[in-house]
Amino acid sequence: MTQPQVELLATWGIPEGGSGDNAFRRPEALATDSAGNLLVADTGNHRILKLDPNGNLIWKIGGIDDAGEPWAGTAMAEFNSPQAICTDNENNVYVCDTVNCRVQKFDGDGNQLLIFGTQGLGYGQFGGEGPLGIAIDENGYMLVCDTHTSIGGNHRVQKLDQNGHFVAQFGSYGTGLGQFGGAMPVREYGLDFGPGIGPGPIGPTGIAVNQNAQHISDKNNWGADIYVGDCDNDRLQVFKGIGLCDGSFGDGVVFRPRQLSMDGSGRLYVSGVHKHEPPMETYDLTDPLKWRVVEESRWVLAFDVGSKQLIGRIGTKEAHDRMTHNYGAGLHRHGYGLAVCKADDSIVYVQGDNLVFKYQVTW
Amino acid sequence: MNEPRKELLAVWGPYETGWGDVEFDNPEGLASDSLGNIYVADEANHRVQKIDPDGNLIHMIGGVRTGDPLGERPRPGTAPGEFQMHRPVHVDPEDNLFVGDSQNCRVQKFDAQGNFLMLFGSMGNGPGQFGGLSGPNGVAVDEEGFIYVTDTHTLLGGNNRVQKFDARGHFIKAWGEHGTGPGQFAGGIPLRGRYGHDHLGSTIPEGPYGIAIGNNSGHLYIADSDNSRIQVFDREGHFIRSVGEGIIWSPKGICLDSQENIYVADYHMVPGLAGLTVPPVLPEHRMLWVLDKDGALLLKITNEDAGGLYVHGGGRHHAVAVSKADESLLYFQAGHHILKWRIHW
Repeated sequence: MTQPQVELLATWGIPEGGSGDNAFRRPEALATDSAGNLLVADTGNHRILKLDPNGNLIWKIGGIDDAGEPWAGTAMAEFNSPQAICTDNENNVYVCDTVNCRVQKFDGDGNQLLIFGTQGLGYGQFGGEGPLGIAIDENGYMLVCDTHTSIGGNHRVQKLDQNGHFVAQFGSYGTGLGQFGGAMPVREYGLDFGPGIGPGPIGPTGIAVNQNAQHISDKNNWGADIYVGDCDNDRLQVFKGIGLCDGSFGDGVVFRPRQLSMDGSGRLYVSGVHKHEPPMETYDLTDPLKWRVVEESRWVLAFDVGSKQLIGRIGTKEAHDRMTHNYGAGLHRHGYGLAVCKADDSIVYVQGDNLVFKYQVTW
Repeated sequence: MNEPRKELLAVWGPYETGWGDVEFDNPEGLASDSLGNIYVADEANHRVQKIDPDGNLIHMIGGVRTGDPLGERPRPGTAPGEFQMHRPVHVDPEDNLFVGDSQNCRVQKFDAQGNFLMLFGSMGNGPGQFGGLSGPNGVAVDEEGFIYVTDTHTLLGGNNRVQKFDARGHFIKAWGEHGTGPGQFAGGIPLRGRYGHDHLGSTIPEGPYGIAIGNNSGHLYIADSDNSRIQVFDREGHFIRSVGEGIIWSPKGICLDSQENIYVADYHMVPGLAGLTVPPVLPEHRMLWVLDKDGALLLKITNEDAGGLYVHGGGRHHAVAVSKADESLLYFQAGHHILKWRIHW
């Protein structure tokens, strides 16, 4: 593993969090557009922000209450804890309005284009944990990670057309290849770092499509590679565009993958909580507070999708020290947001608690 | 009661379910626009049909067709203009259509041509959310554009409330809770025992159901289905009065005419039903009531009046609408039929 050179260029937000234009509350999902602007799903503020490469606000969308404070609403262009976001080639913005169990789409100026999805088990519906990952494939279809639900797992990825109509799905509950969410009832780790507090599984989380042609082994016309974070089974899975599972990687390295982002050189970045020393098995599972999540566990991992090998860890001690505001040393609840800049893929944005870090990564 | 003469003019829809034009599968919501056209919430076909007074289809919204090899039966969907087991429909003073997209736990708005305008709502117990799995049971819009939605009982713990939204679907306020007192909903069921034969096949309460706005008083009339009454509120949620006790049994859809007479799709309150766990709901128990605004009985239409047409469809008798163009015309649902009546007041 050749560790890249990582430099912290900027830190946006304030450590204690806030609802002003220069602050976030647990912004758990990030995306960039082709101009290098950053889209922030400001989860705890129930809003979406678009920032220029210098961190200046371009626009924001979301519900507000009578006092002008963020409001978790259900009208159009209102959100309840949005936890995934992506852009397409035309810089349209797709938001997983997670707790409202729906997806909303906006153009680059923030005008609403589409809204679809409700809670349930049917086609076009999402489980009680809500949609937790979204990507656009090479044909413009939406791929949405559909998570566990208290009335029976969804544990699938749904493929939907540009009108929000269901097209196809893949995935089921279990620990085998092509399955999601199965390990949790066995493992029962009590302290949940994710959206659901408690021992229940989550299901598939982050998703990324490898649109880079030189990495598509497409002689059978099976479509581009799709990478899915299998949060509960501690691995990343590879699917072909038609939904065929083509193996897993990151086993034994990733622990709870959350968001995935590709650069243009076949590198897949993965946020979440990751394996560390000593191994998890030595921990006291009966007392979650005795779990140690060390600094490096929060760093973003980088894999080469050709060799499927870990090639680097993205993070700095400096950034780590800035986000220890609310929690005890080494126990940071949130480090999920992740985006490789589409305009310059040496720039990587990573969320840590209430902050967004802008890194320069030199391979 | 000096009852006016009632005349059955037409029966729309086949006896069994169907999914062609002007065919229905449990059409549990009805509303009239200002021209007298009727919107039918064709619930289990997951679509809304707009039908002229002569029974001709004008247009249809929803009902996803996929070319499924199992049949062309319309399916539910979650995109704009798609529905899942929706019941209430309502036409606002500007002839826009509101649909309570019940099992999708949201409300959708369309213009008179059927173009999607907006939606709001999701499943849950929070502000602006609706209880699963029943979702919104009633929608009404006042002349200022405020939207009132009856939010039902939920398996997660009752919502049993009325929510008020602004014209873009932003939550403003809510009122109501589980109970039998004034301003409470759904409390009667655990006490009296369910009639065992409802469309969910269960003994859970329904919560507040149909809702309508009086154009003289401006008051909200809300069917408190489980407490066997209609409750009247002002638009800020203050309780005014309740009517219909001792006459109506399990009111579902309601509507008002310009005199604020109350049309109630209901079951007949049969002596001896109360207290039984599984009393029978016979065809003759199903009834369309018309009460004046103080609750005095003006008219009832029974299964016999309709030549026994009610018999099909279990307890399903949920929707009623008076034509806004000709208030002597009355439409209500019975099983998979829509019945068109003329009342000679």
